[in-house]
Amino acid sequence: MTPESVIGLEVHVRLRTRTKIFCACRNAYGAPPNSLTCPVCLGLPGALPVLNKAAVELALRLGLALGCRVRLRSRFARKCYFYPDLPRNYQITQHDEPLCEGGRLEIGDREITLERIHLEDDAGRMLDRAADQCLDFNRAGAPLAEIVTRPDLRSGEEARLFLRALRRLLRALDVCDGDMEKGSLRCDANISLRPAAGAKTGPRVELKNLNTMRGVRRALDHEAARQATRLAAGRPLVPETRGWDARRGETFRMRLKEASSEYRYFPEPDLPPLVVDEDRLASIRRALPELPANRERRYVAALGLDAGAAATLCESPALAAYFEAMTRALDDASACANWVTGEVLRICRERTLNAAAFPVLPGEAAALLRRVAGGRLSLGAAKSVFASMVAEGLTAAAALARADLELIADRGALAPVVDRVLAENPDQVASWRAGKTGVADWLIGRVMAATGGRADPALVAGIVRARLADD
Amino acid sequence: MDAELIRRLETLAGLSCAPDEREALSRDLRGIVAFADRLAAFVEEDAPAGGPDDPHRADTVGVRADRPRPSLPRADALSGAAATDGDHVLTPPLRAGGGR
Amino acid sequence: MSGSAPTTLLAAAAALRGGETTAAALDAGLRDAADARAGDLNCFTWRAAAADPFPGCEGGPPAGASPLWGLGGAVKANICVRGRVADCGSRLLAGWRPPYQATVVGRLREAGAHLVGATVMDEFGMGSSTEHAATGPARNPHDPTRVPGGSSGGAAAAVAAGLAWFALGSDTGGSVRQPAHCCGVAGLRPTYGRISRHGLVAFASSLDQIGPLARTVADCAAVYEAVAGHDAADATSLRAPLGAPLDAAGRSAAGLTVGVPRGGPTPADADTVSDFEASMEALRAAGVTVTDIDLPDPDIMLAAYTVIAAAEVSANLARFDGAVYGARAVGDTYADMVARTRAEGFGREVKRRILLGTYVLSAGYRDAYYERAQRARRRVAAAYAAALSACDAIATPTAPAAAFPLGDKLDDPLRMYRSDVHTVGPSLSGLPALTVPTGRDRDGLPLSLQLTGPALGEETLFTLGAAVEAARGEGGGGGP
Repeated sequence: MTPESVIGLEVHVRLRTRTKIFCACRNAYGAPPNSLTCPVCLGLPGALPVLNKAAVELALRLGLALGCRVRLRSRFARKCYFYPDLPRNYQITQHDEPLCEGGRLEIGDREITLERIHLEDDAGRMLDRAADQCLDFNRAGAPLAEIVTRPDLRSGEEARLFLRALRRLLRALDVCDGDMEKGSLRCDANISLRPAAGAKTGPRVELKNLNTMRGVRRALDHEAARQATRLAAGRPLVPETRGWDARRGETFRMRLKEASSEYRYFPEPDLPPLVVDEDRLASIRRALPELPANRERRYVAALGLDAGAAATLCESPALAAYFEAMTRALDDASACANWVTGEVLRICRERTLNAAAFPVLPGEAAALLRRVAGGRLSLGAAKSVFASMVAEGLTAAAALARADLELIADRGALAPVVDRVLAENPDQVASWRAGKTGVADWLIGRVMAATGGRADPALVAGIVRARLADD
Repeated sequence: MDAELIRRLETLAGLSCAPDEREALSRDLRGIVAFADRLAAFVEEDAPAGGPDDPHRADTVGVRADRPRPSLPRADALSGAAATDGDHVLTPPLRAGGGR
Repeated sequence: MSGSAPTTLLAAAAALRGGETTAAALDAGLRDAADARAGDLNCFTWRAAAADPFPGCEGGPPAGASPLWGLGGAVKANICVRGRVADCGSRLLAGWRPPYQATVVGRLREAGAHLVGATVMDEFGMGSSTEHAATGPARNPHDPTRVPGGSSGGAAAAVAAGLAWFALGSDTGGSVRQPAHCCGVAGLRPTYGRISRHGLVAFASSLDQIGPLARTVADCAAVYEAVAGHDAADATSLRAPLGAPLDAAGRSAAGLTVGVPRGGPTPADADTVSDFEASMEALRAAGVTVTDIDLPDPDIMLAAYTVIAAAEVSANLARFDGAVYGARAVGDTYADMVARTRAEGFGREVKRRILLGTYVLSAGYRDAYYERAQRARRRVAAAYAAALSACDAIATPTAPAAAFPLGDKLDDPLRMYRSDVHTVGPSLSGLPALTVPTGRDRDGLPLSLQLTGPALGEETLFTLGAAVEAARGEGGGGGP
């Protein structure tokens, strides 16, 4: 049998606070090097850390949404090691008494359980140059929530789905934008193989340098295959840290893991225990928005949407909000869903817009769709009307009036067009009589074209078929 | 507490001692650690992890609001560094000859 | 000291208020004294130049001004003053100028005081003699062949010799109190969290406190009042109000109770024992009841302190790698740079403590040492709390003997650590403790009494300390 992959993830989420976790420097991306530092985050002698309330708030929001048990009293700890990007040569993190424990996140029909979530400070950035190393401490002290999963994941694809679900949740909670490219979401993975059911898992390999969700999947798949190959060939596996080379598509050894890294954790004496007020916790819980997974379920069960549409709508809270606003003006969830996952999403992507900033109000989009539902506007026509609403900021009524695109639904006006088209295409009519009934659609298309797409298609179809049948 | 252990501790502590210094330190530490062994005479008890908690410290909230304050000017931040390129602190590479 | 010139901070403040002298004249006096003695005592790492301006050059103190107004004080070389060298007694930080200022320095300036210089110290606070200073040892003004104590030895010497009206030192296991004792001045270790540590280069974070040194108990109270109090930049600082410490130094001690260890003030030499007994007599005469209490085994306290302080300092000093600040050594690789910088920059005592700290925190040794020491610490704190439930303050010597000769304890680190046997208990328990100069030993060297109070009990210490001082001290603090 193929050995089973046993995978756990360590995800670092950079919390969306205004300032860093232990000092009041701005928590921002892309600033000129070493322009967002102070004695605290630079680790200057004599400077002391002071905890940012908002970092705790966001971490609690995340922990509660993931169903974690929150410790009302947690402690920070020093994790001691030497590295150029670590200003104090110790990280302030949480070890024995983390803020959150347990928790879970669903991916599809599987539930991935979490070990813990804790707060810690980020290191600075190192840029390698040939002769030396450049250090930029802007990022040092950025507030991180580290999420550790239990080794419940079974494939690279599951890991990718986990990260997608997590990103969606982070955005819905407004805790982080979850952008791996920007670095606000980072992921390390641990993978070992279980050679046979019930057997012990093999040595654990840590994977680093996973910069995209696709990269996570590819790296884990590659590493699983590498380990399986070695196993099958009887060659030994060792606990180690391996990096992912996306260009080459392979993992490479970074360092061997000795018995255990000697971090010499001890409670951080500069910070008092982190005490969370029960009332505060309750009010954070009350203020949680509808979680994307719950919303998705609701859309399918209560609104009858198909799973794919529900999933797409729930990708972004703004998109879901747009959709729900539309349904309040037009009681047809499916039509609204199709419109939002179709036109609205497409235009958002083309113009790099967030749905919250969409130039057409949901009510106006609904008004347009009402015309389609009432049979007075074809879907195709609606799309081009919508485009002018987007481009020129027109209401539905104004755009429709301008375009004069109401469907021609007058038999009297259409019948002559049908007659003319049939007369101009005797071969096709003969084909139909000979039994090729599909030709009717072609003829209907010719009539639609002759009316510039403005005829009511159902009416045209009826007239054409009736005429053909008559003769 | 022998020279071998001191060498391992040096690596963890970012120190590197000359052999005679290491010998002297190992002697000193043996004495100090033997003294610290007196702690073993203390009865073990179940006590929670972390430091002492005192009632008068109960209101040490020690958190701050999420309000930005001006950072150090870059020149000040880099003022103590032995080597910079004007924007970054420069240090020797992790591995001799560069690269990781 | 010449006839009517003030010899204490409060006397100088009164003279300024009364218009009998000016801040500039007083400063000139300090400067002259320092020109005469600072070199021999080697107590300063830098001195303010004559031309350095300070507030209050002309005129007298405004109404309601702090007693510190217009007066010059010193800070230990581990307290950050923007743009001034804070070398912490180490080669590694030689010439380092912090780009920011300690909270206490700001508060001194707000009170109208100015700095006359920074004082020599044992490297990063580790030591009890100021012999571990990279720029050479400081000396005791009473006898230059003797140590001034440590690690705030330069600060104590400067105050005792009249080169500064007060100083701010730092106390981890006794580093303000023991030098105060050696030099015959008053020194306070406040309740942990009373004085902000923002800008104090850390030695052992859960034990460090900045503390004032001054000629008299009341002087000490005045400095304490000016710098103590909550600071948002220090998450361990306390919000509790200060009360009225200076007033407390003027209150009668009658009716208070002082506890003394049941077995006597041991360890202590003969002169220390008889001086201690004389202090108890003085307290009784002032209407204070003296009663027996029990303190933990001094060896246990010293062992717990040694382990915990080493563990914390091993992490606090890890930042000194030569990258962002400090004297960087040449290295081919980052690890090389780090190891050489630290090997060349740190002295022997510092290396000892870093290695010890690394040892007691590492897997396999951690339970036997670090965890046990933390439990011991909790028991020590509980024992002090129990003792303080039977008295208002505990009295012990500050040290087992008067200042020892230079070089006397350098061969054996444990002998040096034992200088702190009486002072580590309050440090471990986070309690305030005041060293009050009392008499002299047979060689004419200062002796003192240490009073330890309950948490937030500084006022009681000042009341009792002033009472002892009134009966026993030489009035103006016993300058050499």
